[in-house]
Amino acid sequence: MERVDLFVSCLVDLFEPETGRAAVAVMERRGAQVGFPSGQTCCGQFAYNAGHWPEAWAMAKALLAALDAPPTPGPDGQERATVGLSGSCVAMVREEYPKLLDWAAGQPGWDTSWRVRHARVAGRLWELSQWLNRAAPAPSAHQDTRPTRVVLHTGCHMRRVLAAGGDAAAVLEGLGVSVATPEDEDQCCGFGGTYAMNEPKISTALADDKLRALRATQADAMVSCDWGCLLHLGGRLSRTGVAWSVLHLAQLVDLADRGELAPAQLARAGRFVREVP
Amino acid sequence: MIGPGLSPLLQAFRARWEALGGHYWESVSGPGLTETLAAAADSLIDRVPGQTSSALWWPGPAWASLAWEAALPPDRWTVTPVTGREPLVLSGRPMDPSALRSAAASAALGVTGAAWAVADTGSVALTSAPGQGLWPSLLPPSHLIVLQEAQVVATVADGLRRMRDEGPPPAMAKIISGPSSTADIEGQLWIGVHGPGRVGVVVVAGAGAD
Amino acid sequence: MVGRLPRDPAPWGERRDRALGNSVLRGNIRSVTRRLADARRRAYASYPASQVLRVAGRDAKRRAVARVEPLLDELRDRLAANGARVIFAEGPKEVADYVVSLAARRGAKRVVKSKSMLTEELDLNRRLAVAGLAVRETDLGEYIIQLLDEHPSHILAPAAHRNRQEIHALFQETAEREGVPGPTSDDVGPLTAFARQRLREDFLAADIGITGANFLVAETGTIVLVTNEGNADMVASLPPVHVVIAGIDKVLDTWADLAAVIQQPALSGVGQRLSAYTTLISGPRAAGSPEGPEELHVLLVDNGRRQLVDGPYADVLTCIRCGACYNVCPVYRQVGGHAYGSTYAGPIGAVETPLLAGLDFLPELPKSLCTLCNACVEACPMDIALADHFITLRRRQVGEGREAAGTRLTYRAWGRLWSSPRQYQRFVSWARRGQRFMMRQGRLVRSPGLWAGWFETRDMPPIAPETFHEWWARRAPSGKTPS
Repeated sequence: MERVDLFVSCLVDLFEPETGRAAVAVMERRGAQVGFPSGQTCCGQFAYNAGHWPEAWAMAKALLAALDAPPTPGPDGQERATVGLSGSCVAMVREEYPKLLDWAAGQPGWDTSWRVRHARVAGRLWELSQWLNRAAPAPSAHQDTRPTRVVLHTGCHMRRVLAAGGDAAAVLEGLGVSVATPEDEDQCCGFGGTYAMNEPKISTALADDKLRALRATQADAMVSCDWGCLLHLGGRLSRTGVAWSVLHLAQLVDLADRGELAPAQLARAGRFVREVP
Repeated sequence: MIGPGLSPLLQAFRARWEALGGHYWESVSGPGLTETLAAAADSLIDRVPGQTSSALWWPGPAWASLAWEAALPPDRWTVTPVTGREPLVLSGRPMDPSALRSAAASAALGVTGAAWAVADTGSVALTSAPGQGLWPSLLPPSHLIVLQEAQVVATVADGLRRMRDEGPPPAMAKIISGPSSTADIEGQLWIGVHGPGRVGVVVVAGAGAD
Repeated sequence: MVGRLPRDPAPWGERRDRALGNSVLRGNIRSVTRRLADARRRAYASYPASQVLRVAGRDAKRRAVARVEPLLDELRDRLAANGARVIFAEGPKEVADYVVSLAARRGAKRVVKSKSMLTEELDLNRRLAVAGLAVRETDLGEYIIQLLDEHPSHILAPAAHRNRQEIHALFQETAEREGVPGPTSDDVGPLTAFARQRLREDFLAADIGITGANFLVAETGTIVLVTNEGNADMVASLPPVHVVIAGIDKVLDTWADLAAVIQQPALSGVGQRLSAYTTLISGPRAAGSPEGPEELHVLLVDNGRRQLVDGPYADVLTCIRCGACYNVCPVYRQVGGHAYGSTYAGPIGAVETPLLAGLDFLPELPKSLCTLCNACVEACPMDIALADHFITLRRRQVGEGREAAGTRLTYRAWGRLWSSPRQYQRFVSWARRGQRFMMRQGRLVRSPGLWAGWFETRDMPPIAPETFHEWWARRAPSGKTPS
């Protein structure tokens, strides 16, 4: 049995924990023994992208400490993987942390062991769709003759920094879900982390263009591996009164596993707003 | 020789040149060449019935034996020929730069030779080497180039190397890849703005010009 | 020296709103950028040599930037030996003064010019006009915006923000004013023919021609011009004086290096294997030649570029001004070039402008013009690390105290709270209490401080009743996975 640690990302933890729950179910169905290093908080990319590197470094150290573990093979000798539920966060840790480390090396209090810890963490870190595309798929309970159709939005950091855009479509198609491609597919949705807050007008103009292209596919739902993009696009749908199902890949795979892909089920699961108790 | 026995290099040049909107003719040297030039020149301009069209003829010393009177006959053309090398001769008299300039500015067609051509990009290079001119390729709205098959090289790098091998670069050299174009108005592509809107090449296959 | 660049006096918010509200501009920019980006992609996909050429060109540019001083010396010596006059000019004033005194010496009144971003950067036309020299822009798009007294909105298509009807009206007015027949209709053909006719007279009567340069080859003393219209060749070979104004970053080492990079502006800019005209000038008119200028002057301009040579931003000097980054930038595609407030727009403009002219010059550029999508990094043939540069410029702005105090404090608190699991939990309880005042119908609809901008146009879900941390702790308090 493969041992897998989960790295959920701050957005999933705080706003969309259902994605985390779905990911646990999905991975356990595929034979993983899932752990959750509870010291994790945030990869720090908000601060990093905005140029606040001391703060980003503080968060990075905390995350590396939480995710780092000496190599501990499982019962069948398999190395423990860490699976991240955010393409941009995995990109941050794998591809951008080295630049942060280079900068931190010039700051007081530097300890070279951070590079070793980073190498260990990054060497075992995968984004969810990458992990799923390698793991054996669980048999799908989905029986409908009309395949469910979703439109896939790939975030820019996942696409270009992590260079990992292809796995999600493969995973979905393997489950019998039809995947539509929007026009201008690789254009940014406008989230950009703190850009969405600093420059709301341009950020929103981009969101509106992206939503027009996504909606034009007439898909049953919109799916992504990044809650940053989804909160931005979903938040815009919500403000403009448009009801459409917004889902993370983990949620969609969970529904597919359970054969719950009818439009009403998609709509309920992908409902943007949840009642506050 | 003309036909399916053409070198792959020449075929590649022709394909790319034509894809860029250039016109292409072939000939062997001799009387057939003059006829081909005449036909090419006619098709590159809009003839006004009852009037001759003006041409600036300057293919350079390599084509000194070409009879321009036969290629651009007086019933259809008013020709300003530039011949010689050092010194240059304009319409049979010593070169006069301002007369050359007027001829270039009012000609409907400019005829030049070339230094080399590139198959990979569909390009033809002209230089201001002694005896050769660039204004016929610049000002008239149509431009016809006479070229030998052996002048076609594979890549731009090959052409530039050839140029360098001949010594220091000339004062001006120009690599032409199709007619002039712009997309400055509403992003619509339009052919023929400042430079020629119509360009054609006559390739002389086989042995050099006699 | 610090560079001096032109600056739109309107503040960022006004420039942005003006752009977002201009539907003609946005429509044209959108279609021009899409066409060029698609053309570049198709060219790379269908041309087997493209990647090899790209890398060879990139390496040639990088090596040249690394050795820029000795190469500039070699270039100067070779150009002088070829019969050109070579001047090193610091900035806008030196360049303008040189041209003015050259014109005075020659008794020159009429100047024709082909498109040059550097001369825009130096505000040359305005400075020459002040000195009484009439400068005619001859690139079709530049001619149009000169008549409109506007600035270019795209590096390759300067009049992208105007439609045919507007250009037709402009040309009609011009024709009336100059007492000549106007364009026969507002179709592209007649409009182009009108411009061609007017400008032809300018070419033939000009006393001085001014061009930029795409590359300068030190080994041979060669100036390279890459164009599609043919006007640069007219400007360079019809008037008796030719002045080349080029940045010091344009220098290349060898003729072989030129061969490596010569196709790149066309490939990455417009998706062609070579531009319609690639012109190589190695001196004024040769003895005995009736064509070409009597005098060739080459001005090699710094205007802040030397600041970048030895440092982490040296790759910015390898930019070949192809515009590939403009054509894929989501922000540029929304607002066009004027919103950037100075000569250079798109990703390279937002990065290079503060590097040339200082972080204070247009401080919004690194911060407000980039979503860090990395599309520019993917498109740039020179592999300039644009996304990294945006981030490190932001880091410099923060480090130099240019962030608003409230923002700085927010990030400091955020960093402290979120870098410890216990503080993070405390943050969650505090946020849960606070958010009750910011909700409507189960959504978060407002927030103070840093996040306020989000809520102008979007909602958020509230912080979940049970975070993933809390759910996991409840599920497996001992750390063991339940069966």
